[in-house]
Amino acid sequence: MSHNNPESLPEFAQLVQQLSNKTNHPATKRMPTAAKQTLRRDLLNQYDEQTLSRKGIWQLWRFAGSVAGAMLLAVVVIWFVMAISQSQSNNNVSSPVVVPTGTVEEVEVTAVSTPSPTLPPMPFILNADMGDSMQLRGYAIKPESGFLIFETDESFQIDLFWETTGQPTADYMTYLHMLDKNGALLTQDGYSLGETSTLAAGTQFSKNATLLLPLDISPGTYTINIGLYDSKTGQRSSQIELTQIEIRTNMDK
Amino acid sequence: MFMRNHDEEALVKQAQTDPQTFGRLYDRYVDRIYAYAYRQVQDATLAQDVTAVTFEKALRHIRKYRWQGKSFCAWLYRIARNEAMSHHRQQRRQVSWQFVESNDSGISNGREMETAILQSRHNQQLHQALAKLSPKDYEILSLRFFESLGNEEIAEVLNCSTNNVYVRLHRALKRLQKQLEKIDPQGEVRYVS
Repeated sequence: MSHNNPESLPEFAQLVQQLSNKTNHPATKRMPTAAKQTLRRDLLNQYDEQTLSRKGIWQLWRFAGSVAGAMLLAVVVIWFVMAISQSQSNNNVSSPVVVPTGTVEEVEVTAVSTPSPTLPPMPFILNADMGDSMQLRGYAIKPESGFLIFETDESFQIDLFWETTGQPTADYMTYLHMLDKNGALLTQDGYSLGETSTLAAGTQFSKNATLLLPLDISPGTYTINIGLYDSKTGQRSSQIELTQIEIRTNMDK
Repeated sequence: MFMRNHDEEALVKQAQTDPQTFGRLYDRYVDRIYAYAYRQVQDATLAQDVTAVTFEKALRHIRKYRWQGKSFCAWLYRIARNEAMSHHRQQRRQVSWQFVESNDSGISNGREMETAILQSRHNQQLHQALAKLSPKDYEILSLRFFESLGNEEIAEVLNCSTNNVYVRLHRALKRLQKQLEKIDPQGEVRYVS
């Protein structure tokens, strides 16, 4: 469901005209020319300082790299000299050579899943497979109280945490649907997840979505569904129930 | 629009390595950002601070800025908005909005005087109605009409989708209309041409 620009509605034509009239705009001022020039000069100085500081940091890194390289070389040389002198002394003693026997045991290496370095902590973990290598790792909901006070909160925000398990084949959009207990769609919104087809396996990213509540919503429990669709073809991938939220009015507080 | 975006994209890319180009971006947007900051904080010194911090932050992060087809101007507005909001949080006070006084100079005859008086009353009513809106409603109307941002730019500033902007704008206009009806139930002043 795409919304039309309300400015084109006849019911708002006069109001839009009034608001567009500059004489109705809140008072503002122009920034004094001297202050503008001072700020400009300061900014350009800062720009130069940043560039110099970047160059300084780069030179410091280069110096540190050279020192580390020289130390490493020294360690290698010392180790080499010690190894040669030891082998010479061993040859002098002519000790028997011990040859190891037997087979090498195969060791099973298992991947250890490490906590994500990029995603912030998620209050709700899902790890839901959304198809085509797209995994919904979890979500956070704001306000965090678990319910919304209608007339106070007209909207709520959901932060979605994604991870690719392989390289997706399409660029995906995500949609959120809010349904009543009869499954009727009350509100929805859609967001692009960017060029997901270019993401490598294991890429993590988060995206937030805002759902606006309908003005005539009744108190009760509502379901939020989430799904993916191909941004080019519009073909839906999979859909899951994300969560349920409770709406209360100010009277229920 | 396309040409402007194309030009802006080239400028932003160049500004990542060239201070003079950053200066050109500054010249292009400083007045708009200052005007916006002033409307938000209603104080010339604070507005200068907000403007300075906005451009300092832009400068600090411009090298990491990736052009995604979104307006650079909207990015600046977003920084300025966050700065102004942080100022409001510190001050914990509601700003009383001041509106432009209608210019009554040069009124030569009775008809012009009548039109000017009606215009003044009309402004006053709009002022009263806007002051009664919630900060969220006021903000979206302000970004759209006073700052003349496009709906996609507003979506970028408010970090929401364009559809979301349309819905919020619709609701804000509806509420403003209701407020105006309360102030002037007959619509006598508003609908006099």
